[in-house]
Amino acid sequence: MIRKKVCLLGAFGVGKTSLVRRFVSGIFSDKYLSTMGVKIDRKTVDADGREVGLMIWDIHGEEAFRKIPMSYLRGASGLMMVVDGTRPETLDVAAGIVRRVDDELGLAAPRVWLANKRDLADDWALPADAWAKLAGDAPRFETSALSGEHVDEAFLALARAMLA
Amino acid sequence: MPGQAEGAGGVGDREGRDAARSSDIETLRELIVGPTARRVEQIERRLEQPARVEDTARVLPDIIRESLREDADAAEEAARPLVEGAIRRSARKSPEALSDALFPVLGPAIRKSITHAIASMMQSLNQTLEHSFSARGLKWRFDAWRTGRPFAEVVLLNTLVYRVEQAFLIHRESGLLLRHVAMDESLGEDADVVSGMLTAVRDFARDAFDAEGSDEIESLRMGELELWVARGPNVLLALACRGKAPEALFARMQETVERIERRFGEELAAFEGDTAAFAGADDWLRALLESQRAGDEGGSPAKAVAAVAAVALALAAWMGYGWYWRGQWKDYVARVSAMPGVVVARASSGAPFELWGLRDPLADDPAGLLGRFGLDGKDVKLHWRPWQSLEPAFALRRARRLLQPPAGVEVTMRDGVLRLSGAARPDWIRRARMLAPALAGVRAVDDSALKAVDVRAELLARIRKRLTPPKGVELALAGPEGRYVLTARGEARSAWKAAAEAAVKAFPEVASYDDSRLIAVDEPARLLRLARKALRPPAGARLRVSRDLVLHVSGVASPAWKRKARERAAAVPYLAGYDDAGLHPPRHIPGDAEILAAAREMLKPPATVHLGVSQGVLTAQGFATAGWIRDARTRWRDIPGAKGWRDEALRDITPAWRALSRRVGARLVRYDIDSGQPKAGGERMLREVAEAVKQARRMRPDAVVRAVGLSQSRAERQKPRALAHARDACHRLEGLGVPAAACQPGFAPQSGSRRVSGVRFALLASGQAP
Ligand SMILES: Nc1nc2c(ncn2[C@@H]2O[C@H](COP(=O)(O)OP(=O)(O)OP(=O)(O)O)[C@@H](O)[C@H]2O)c(=O)[nH]1
Ligand SMILES: [Mg+2]
Repeated sequence: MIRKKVCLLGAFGVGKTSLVRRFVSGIFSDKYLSTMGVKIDRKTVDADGREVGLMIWDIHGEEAFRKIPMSYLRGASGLMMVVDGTRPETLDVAAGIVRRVDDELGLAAPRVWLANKRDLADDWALPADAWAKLAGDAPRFETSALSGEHVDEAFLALARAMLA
Repeated sequence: MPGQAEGAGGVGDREGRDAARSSDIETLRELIVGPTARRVEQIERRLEQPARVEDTARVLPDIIRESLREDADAAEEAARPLVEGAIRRSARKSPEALSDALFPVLGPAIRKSITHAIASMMQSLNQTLEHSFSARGLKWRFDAWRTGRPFAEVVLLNTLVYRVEQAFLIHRESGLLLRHVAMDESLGEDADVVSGMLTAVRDFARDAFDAEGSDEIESLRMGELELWVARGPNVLLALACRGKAPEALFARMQETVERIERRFGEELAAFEGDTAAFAGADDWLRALLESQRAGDEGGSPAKAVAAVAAVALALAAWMGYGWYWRGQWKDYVARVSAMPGVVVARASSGAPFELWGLRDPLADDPAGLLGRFGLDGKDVKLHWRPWQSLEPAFALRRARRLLQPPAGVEVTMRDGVLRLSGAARPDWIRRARMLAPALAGVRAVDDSALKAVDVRAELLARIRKRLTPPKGVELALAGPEGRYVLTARGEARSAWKAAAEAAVKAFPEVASYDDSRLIAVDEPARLLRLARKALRPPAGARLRVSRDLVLHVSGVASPAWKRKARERAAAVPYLAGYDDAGLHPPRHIPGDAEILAAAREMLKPPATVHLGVSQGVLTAQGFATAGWIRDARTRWRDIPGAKGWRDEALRDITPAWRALSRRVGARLVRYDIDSGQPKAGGERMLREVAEAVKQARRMRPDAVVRAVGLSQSRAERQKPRALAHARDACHRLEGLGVPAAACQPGFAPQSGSRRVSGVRFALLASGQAP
């Protein structure tokens, strides 16, 4: 079986941990326990008939005083960039992370982009243009860790991109 | 041990031979080592000649071999500076390259020497243990009885018994698990998560403490389990051990890593996530699980010893070089450790010297001390993580920095109690009360001696000081903080009033300034009022206060009043001067008739105005144009003896007059040239003109209408016809009630392109030019 390292990146509180929990264990909790350092989970997916063991690195959210150490990303085969669709400022944070990944690491791993918390329709404030520009030609998903909407699709899309 | 016996025999053998061959050695020394300088010179010369290089190369190995065999010490002495220098330069230039190059060779060599050393140490340790076994055994039995644990467990804990339960082979870059073997296969469940976490922890440690490269083996204790990690360039090998693993195990780990790196080099370089390629390593990993017994030991010990000797030589050189500086560094570290607010966690004497620790941002910078120890920032790396020292001095410094006490507040610290005393603004006090208890190192806050200053009173005092109001001015500050209203009332000179208004702007706390009740005592208008009151001037005298506050008196007044006025003026405050040069004594006083005659003469009233006079006061009634009324109102003063002018009964006819004259002027009665009669519609026009003229004459009896016959050209012969038309029009107006005298016929040539024949009209008052 092929194993691949996947990293979730984004601002704090965008729902990275929740997405992983939804994807790996199928559960959601509205408690917020900010991730310290890294938490690693594993799940095997079937991508077009090939089994891939995803080692999912759920890294703490980027904050001004707590930047994501680039060393966590070494050897990653795929990046899952997460923003919070109800907090447009998380797009800037994600853009900053991507810039550092490109500049400091030069990591060419495939990426998928997730705008999470889609279930909060009333607070949804995703700026469509900026969102499309940020993701470029990488696949984009509007997900909800709460309802599970598009979560599996997003991980599967990343698995496919890594095998391509 | 056979190895040892052989070694001991070897030494004795050599001693015997040395004595026998000492004279031979002398000869050899003379030949080889004695004239070293000369020979080296010769060799150098040979080297410079390319033709000789080859034969030199042929003999050189022999020479070295010979010299080593015959007198190793001397040969070594000769070669040492060369070897040392080369190693040192290389190490300084690129330590990585050197260690990479040496890794495959030195790795096994060093390890073997260590194994060797440990093996012998273990042996002696075992002996010691055996000797004291009975005593220990008794103690262990006692411990077992005391703690209620089985004796076997106590023995297990106290002897060097251990068990390696799992082995992880990890891809170093990605943290992906390549292989995993375990004593109990059910343990494999979370192996790849463990492997990922382990990598993450290492990454973290490296980022946080910059700690890579210091140790070859790392360990991580998790409860009863200890995780040992050995690393190669591409893989990590981690063992989960229960109990205390012996050093020998680490050597075997390192060996396994090297073996794996060698065997799977290509697969590792091309690793894309497929772990099956590394199945071949499972047996090696399993071998680590089995037992602690010393593994196979291949190769000859002699070779290992030689290698160790070479390495030791290089190390000695290194150490000699760095000895002095390491001493300095040690002193520096000790000095820094003693600095308040600084905690040294670890210091390394590698090159460069490195120091890790905690430093309160308020503490002095330890880098500043480097120079005192002859150290240079380039040779030294200081890694500080910020922290907050709880020492009272720092807590106090931190408090001062955070609270920013204003002048008048004293901040002190005693037994963890932060004491604030003095006077400050309430908002500062509020803030201090909120922040101070949260400060690290502050146990309690005592602000009992802290008084709030009255912000308003304090501000008012400052304003007073700045404005220095004169006596008679009262300043007051009202309103809520931030929106103070400053009022000034009383009396002051206008210069102060203006200066105060400007000065208030320097107080941003004052939102508005109200000086509406501040009387500027020296304003000319006010002084004039006061002077009038004081001087009581007669009708003919006029008073004026000029801008420079001089009181000017002019006109006509009796000499008696003139004298009195001068005295009275002195009593008017703020007057800068007094001037009565324009004051004249009265001359002839004209009577009413004289005044009226002069008025008629000077004002030339129109016929519609009736002038009268009574006790010198002129009255005008009737109708007049606005212009005449305006003129008359000023010009009457020029009439000698006139004391007043009243014209309430005088009506300004101008607007009505203008309307009528516009109405009359707009009419044009066209005449038929052939018949000499008005054309159709002419009658109606004439009626309207007649009405307007009659109305105008009611306002001004002297109003007349001018009928202007329009001639077709300037030609002289045209005039009579135009005049005839005008006369006809007058005649017709007479028929409509306009007196013949009120219509003046005339003629005028036309200009412009559209010429007509007809009559225009204009309304005039007598005396008005046509
Ligand atoms: N309504 C809603 N809430 C969500 C969703 N995803 C996450 N949350 C909530 O958002 C909060 C933060 O979620 P986490 O998953 O802990 O966020 P994170 O990105 O891991 O945060 P850090 O670890 O601090 O970087 C939690 O209270 C979640 O319950 C979602 O899809 N919908
Ligand atoms: Mg999280």
